[in-house]
Amino acid sequence: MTSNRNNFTKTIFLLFASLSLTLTGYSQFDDSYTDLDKTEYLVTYSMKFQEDSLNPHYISQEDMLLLIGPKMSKFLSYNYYIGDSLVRTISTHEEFQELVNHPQNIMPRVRLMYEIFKNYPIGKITTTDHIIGDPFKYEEKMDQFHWELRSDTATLHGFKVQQAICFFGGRQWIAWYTADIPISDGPYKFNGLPGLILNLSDSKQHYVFEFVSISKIAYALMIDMNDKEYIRSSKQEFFKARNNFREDIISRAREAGAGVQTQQVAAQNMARRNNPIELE
Amino acid sequence: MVIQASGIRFWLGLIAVLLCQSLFSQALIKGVAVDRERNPVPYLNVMIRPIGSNVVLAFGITNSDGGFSIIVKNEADSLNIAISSIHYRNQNRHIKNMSQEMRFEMETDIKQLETFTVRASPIQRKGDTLSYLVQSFSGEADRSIEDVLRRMPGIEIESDGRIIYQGMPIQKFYVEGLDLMDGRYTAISSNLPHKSVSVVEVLENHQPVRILEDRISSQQASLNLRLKNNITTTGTAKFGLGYAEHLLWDANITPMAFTKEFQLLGSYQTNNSGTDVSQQLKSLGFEDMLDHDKPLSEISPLIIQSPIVPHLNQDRFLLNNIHLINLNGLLRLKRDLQVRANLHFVNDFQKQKAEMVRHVFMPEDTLIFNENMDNRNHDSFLKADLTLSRNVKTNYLNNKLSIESGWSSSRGNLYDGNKQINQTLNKPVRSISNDLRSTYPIGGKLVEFISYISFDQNNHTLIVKPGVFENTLNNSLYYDKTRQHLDLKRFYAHHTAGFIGNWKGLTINPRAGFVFRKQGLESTIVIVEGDTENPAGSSFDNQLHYTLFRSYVQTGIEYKRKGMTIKALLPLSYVRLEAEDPLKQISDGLNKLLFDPSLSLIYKFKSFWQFSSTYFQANRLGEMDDVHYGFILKKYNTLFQNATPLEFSNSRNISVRISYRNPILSFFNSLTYISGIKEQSVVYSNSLLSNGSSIAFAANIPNTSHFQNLQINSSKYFSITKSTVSLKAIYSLNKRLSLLNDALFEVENRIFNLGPQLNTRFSSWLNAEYRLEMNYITTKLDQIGKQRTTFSKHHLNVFAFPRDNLMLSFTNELYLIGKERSLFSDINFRRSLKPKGLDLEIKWSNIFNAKTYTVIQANAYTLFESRFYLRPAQLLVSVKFNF
Repeated sequence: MTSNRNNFTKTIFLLFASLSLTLTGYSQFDDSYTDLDKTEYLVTYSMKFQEDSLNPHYISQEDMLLLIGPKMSKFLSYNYYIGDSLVRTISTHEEFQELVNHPQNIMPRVRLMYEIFKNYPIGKITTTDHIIGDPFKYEEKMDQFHWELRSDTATLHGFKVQQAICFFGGRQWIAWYTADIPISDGPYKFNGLPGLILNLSDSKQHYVFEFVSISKIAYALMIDMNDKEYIRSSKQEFFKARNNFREDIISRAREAGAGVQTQQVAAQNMARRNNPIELE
Repeated sequence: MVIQASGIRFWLGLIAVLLCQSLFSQALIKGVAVDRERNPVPYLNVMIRPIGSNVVLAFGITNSDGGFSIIVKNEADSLNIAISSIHYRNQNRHIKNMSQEMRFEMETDIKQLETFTVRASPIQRKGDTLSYLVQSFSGEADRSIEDVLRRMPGIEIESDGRIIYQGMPIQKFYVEGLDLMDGRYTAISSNLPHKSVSVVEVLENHQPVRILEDRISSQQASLNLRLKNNITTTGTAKFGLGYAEHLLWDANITPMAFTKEFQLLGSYQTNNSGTDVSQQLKSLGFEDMLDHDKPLSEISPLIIQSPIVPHLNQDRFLLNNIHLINLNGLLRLKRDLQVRANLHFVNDFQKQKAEMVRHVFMPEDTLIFNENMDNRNHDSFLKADLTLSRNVKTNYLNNKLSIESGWSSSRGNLYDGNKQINQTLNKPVRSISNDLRSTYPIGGKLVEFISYISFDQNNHTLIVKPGVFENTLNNSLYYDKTRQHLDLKRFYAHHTAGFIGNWKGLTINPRAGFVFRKQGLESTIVIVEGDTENPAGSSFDNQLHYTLFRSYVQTGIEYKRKGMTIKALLPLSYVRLEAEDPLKQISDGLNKLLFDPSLSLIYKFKSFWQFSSTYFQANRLGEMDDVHYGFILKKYNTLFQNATPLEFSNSRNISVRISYRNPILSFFNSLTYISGIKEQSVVYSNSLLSNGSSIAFAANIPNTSHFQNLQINSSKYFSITKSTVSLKAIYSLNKRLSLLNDALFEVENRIFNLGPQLNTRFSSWLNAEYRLEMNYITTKLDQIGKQRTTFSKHHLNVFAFPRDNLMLSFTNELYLIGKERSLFSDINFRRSLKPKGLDLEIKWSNIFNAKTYTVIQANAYTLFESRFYLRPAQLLVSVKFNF
């Protein structure tokens, strides 16, 4: 399975080489993957979030996937999953040309490029993320969520749920978990409750995760990680790099070959993305 | 009042009681969970509840030793402890509410959690068509269908008009099932009034290429609009008026019409404000690497002497008056066939005024020539594309037929210090081409077949008054006019097929094809004296037939290891060439087997470092269009002969790049070195006459040229001052052999370019940049000495966004060339009045009214210095709206 995908990606590189003498660059196609676990259950959440803390009318929505295996889990956005799969399965010259000529027509607009691997390595959370062009990887502890159980209970989609709260990343979070699904996991990095988190939001309602579905996966849906050369950093270093990128967007856009107009538009758009899920 | 007070007392009392309770009754429940083999079981959920309740009071999760430890604060006598997980049977026990240690023996039990769905996960949802009634989503202020789409669930509209469905850009935008605009659908979505649309259909998982339907599932959706009426018409318009010594205009009107079987979008654009709107007709396609035999589409064998175009934005210097009409029509035929027609008509009139100084560095001397130019170019052409496509499950076919007819003419008035010279050039062109692309399955693989055929005819005439090259052409006698006729007919065909295959871990992408090109060149120079016309003689005539045949195969190989990738591309081709001029009784031929391998290596290490290197070799034949055994008057002061039909070059290039990118520190650096050697069979020789004219010919002298280029880029962001400092430095060296007045000598050009830059963000709505560019050019001739040129550019730009949909910019460019300086300043104001659907733009360009701009260009032993006349200060106000 994996080697087959690799061949496709290799092919893409060859096609690229045959189309242009610029043999460097486009390294996103140059990828192979390592299987870490096999998905047993697939949970889907709908995430609504307010990218601009000053504009409550601009709410974005993304479907998020939680791939749960016997040993670990992986959390990522549906669009990132699809974009990644698309690149992995391109097989014709025309598709490739379309991808090179009009990437915006084929590639999903991926806003959230992170992948969160819980309990990988054991007892840790590994997060991979991208700051245009640079893949990052950092680890943090799994058991950093100090949940306080509340006595509030309710029924959500027929599941008995109970409320729990915790502080994480500069926000207060309110979770509704169900012991009916005895999987100690949830959206984003959240874990450590005695059951699956079905609903999660911060106190300002800037980030709201809602349960969409859970299903048992009978086919081979692997929990895998890209073998690319990640920049290994601490979480704080990654946040610093991300912040620098936001503030330095005009220079970066210019380096990428964008015109003056585009540089300014990029800066205005970036200014609106001021509300990351983890504030600190 | 009393009730409330007692209420508060009650609550305070209760809190006190609860506090005491929780302080006094705290139990530590520890335990361990093992399986039947006594192995510890981690990741089990352990929950403590009051008996008969669902509320979890406290919980723990077993660790890698299977252990858990839970603190319970509750006053009840006994509690319920439950242990659960997906892979083990749940257990429940009643325990006393006191500190204790427990042991659970877990029994394996694969539970089947019920699949539960609020809505289907997008991964598992199959292609559906969702229909939305436009009426139920439209609001008071809505105008276009875009405004309504914005409200439909799952649909978002980006600032550039791109439509997103469930986070993914839509693939196709159909109106009544027809795709008129081929991706550029914003013209329709932002203009079509929502009132003319009855239903919006979202086609989920839509695969537009039907042969791929069962092979590649699409994740993208497409939109289809169903119209209310049988015919719908709409459009958009932009009008701008301004002043710059005379009245300026800039208009764009785009009407459109839709029916169920036929759709039309037209556009009329006109301006005299310096925008070359015909640029948008140029297609930005990929040039196939093996397509280097393809005839160039725009050729200029004969030219009017023209100044070097400044490296400025075109709207600073383009003195134009352009009209463009563009019609796109789409018709649905029977049997899954569709015909699309695109028709373009351009009529453009341009003026150019410049003074050019030409410094020619000769072995003995430096000669200087002046030319004052005043040119008028009139470009007019009609282009029609007819595309027939068939999109069915068994194959995909797309055939595009293009026909072009052009009538371009130019007039040039030139003063060389002594006399006035008039040049007239007519270059009508007629061409036809057919591009067929087809994909069909063979043995489980998809094979792609491409056929491209073209024919064109170019019948050019250059008239120079008074007659030139009297010594060579007319026995040193003065005469009225020189007339150069040139007729070039070209036929070209390229057929290729390829597929992708895997073989024992290697990926191979074989492609094979053949190219055939045949062309005929006829030319003659006529001496016109009053009413008498005489040919200048057979040395100035051509009747050349040229044939090229190339067949090729190519394949690629890749090898990959952690952090390192090596790739090779191996094209092999056989070429056969024949050139014949019956008039001169000359016949030449060539057969060659060519191998042009390329190799690349990328190595990433230590997170921030990357090393890459590329090598490629190219064997090329000379461009056929330029070959002729007889002389041609290329421009008023150049007679040119190129009797080298078998011109051949071999170039070998290597590039090495090392980069250090540290995004954490925001520190980016790269160093690139490129070096190339080119071995050529031909040198172009120039015989410079005392009046600056030259007689040029190609001489069969094998020679080698070298080039080297070193580039350093560095940038660092300082978060304290919110500033980026960057530096770019380029050094390039170019050495080649030149032949001037029978003297063979080496020319060396060195260019050094240094560009520091500073960007600062004062606030989220105000930023500024300063950029400096310094250039040093040195031209060195064998034993003769050096010539140095220096010029620099300063840029200072300020951008402000005081409000949403409001932009103000103030840009300044200062050019220092020798002693000359030109300053350009512009102010732009843009305001978008969304609810009224009106965009307003005010552009005040070249505020300080810079009149000229000097361009310097070094070219082997010649240095050109052109003073180009620019557009004066201008103010343009434009509005954009829909109708």
